[in-house]
Amino acid sequence: MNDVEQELRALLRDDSADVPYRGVNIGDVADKARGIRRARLRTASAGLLAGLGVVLAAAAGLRLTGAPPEVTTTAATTSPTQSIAPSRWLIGTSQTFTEGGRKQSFTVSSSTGQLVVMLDCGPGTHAYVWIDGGLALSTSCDAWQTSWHAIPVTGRGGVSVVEAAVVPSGAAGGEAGKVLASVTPYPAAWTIRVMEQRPHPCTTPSEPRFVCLPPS
Amino acid sequence: MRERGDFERYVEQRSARLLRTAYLLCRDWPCAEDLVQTALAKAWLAWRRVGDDPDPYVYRILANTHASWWRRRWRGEVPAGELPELPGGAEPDVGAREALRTALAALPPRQRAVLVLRYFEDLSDHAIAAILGCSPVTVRTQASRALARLRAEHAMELR
Repeated sequence: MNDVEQELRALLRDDSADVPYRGVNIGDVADKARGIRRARLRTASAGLLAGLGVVLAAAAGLRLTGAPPEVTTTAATTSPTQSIAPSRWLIGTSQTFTEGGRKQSFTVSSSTGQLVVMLDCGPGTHAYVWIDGGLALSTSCDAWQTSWHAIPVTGRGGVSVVEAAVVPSGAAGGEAGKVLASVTPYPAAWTIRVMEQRPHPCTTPSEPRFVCLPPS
Repeated sequence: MRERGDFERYVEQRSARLLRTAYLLCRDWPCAEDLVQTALAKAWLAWRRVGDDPDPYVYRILANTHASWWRRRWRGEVPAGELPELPGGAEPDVGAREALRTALAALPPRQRAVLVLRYFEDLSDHAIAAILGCSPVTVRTQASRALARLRAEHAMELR
């Protein structure tokens, strides 16, 4: 070990030696945990409302460009057995992964030409999403916020291949493929939801669904 | 390592050390206290998923949270009413140490985290890589770059 390393070791030891008397106690931690939990709930609620807003706006846009007039208004519901048809469904896939630093892949139906991607990763994380082989999204996932992104797709054959990965924020920057190649897979809990909006009978139980939207 | 009692014991046994590590990351005791409280709170919320050794998980939250705060906070100069004292009259080794301290504080958060984990916590490059979510090669690269900057400052001070 050279002089600088020895001096650095001594500096780190000495500079941190005077820990304040009070320090950290379990009460402080419990208070902080309650605050974080409340903030996450607020963020999740805001994300849900924002997502609903995006979808309602998209639904309105579709009507203006010639949505079929027979689409009827229905109440929002998540019950897969409720028989209200036809209506606009958000059909999608929710994928939860426990590993970062590795590209995860799945397919979604994409007949409308636009997908809505929702990411729920963690602070200090950066997410990449590729759709049909092209990088569609590169975004920071800080503060446990749920973020929504509308991404146009070609939807070849009505199916799109979605690949996604998260990496530590510190590793992000530069070409996504190279960033991913430089990161060793590590444990990380994250969720990606990819949704397509299209007219769909609410009673069809063949796909997971998120909400049955009122066309308003 | 699943129960509240285990978590409380962990806080009791490790918080002082975690506080020192956090201080070395942000160089400010109130910030360090907030950082440790945040890291431990997040660890508690995920306690069932944390394995038998919570240290890597907690260190990872510390490093990531600090990096996140560092990016968000304005890091401009702080106006002062008086000029700071120059280290001219100080002992040579004190001047060198101050230069090293200043250079350390100027490092990007990821490089500083690598040095703190390696030279304060005495962790191996593999362990640091697991904590920071990168490869051991990246850890060695970051450490090498950081040490090069510290050596340059140290050498200038000794001239």
